[in-house]
Amino acid sequence: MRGLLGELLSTQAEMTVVDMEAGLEHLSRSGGTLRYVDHLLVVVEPYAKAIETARRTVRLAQELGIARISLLASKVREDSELALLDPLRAEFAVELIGVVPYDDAARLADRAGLPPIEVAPDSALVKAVGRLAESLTAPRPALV
Amino acid sequence: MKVAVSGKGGTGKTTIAATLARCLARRGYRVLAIDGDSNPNLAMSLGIDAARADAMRPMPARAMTEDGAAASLVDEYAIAGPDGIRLVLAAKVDQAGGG
Repeated sequence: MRGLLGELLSTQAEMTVVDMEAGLEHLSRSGGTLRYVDHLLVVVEPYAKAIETARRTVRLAQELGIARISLLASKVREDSELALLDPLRAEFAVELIGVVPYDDAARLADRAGLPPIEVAPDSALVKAVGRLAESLTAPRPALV
Repeated sequence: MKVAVSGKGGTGKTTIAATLARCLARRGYRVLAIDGDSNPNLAMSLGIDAARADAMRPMPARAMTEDGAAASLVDEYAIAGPDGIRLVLAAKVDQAGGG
């Protein structure tokens, strides 16, 4: 039984983006339903409790055999904060695919319940996610 | 390609997932957005108005577990968002058991 993501949805969508909780319930429960993701992005803020949660997510994701798992740093104010992610990256050999800066414009948009891409299209957050979109869709060279 | 965005609450993952969906859509991809959070906020982050978001029904469990069911159920349950994105609410996990 492969269900919603197991089916090739090529006639339905070329890209599917799933928003899910840190516990990966849709991927891990029996009958869990969205397990056939190609790429899991684990959003992690550079502070201890968030990193602790991300550890559990990455470990579970690796146990589930998800094809590609990446960290995406979020709300980063200074590059030096990224060092806090080093132990996590080393422990699971997981890549850091992008850094989304702390962004006041995005925060204000969120507070108003509005999408940053509409009200703050030139914000650091939107630009960073745009770069992420590019890297996700760039053709990958074949690994020799 | 099927990308899942996961994170502890408050990390910005819904904002990021929504912004990613819209960036991909603006690059010409047909995008399906799936809200798999037990407290769904993806519609608002995508820019779908609250009334339409509130009216959404979650996908039935069989959308998640039955081969062949998903495509037609997406057609039935999806709502249209900006940039041509379609959004569905994932089935509640406790109803998706078995299979």
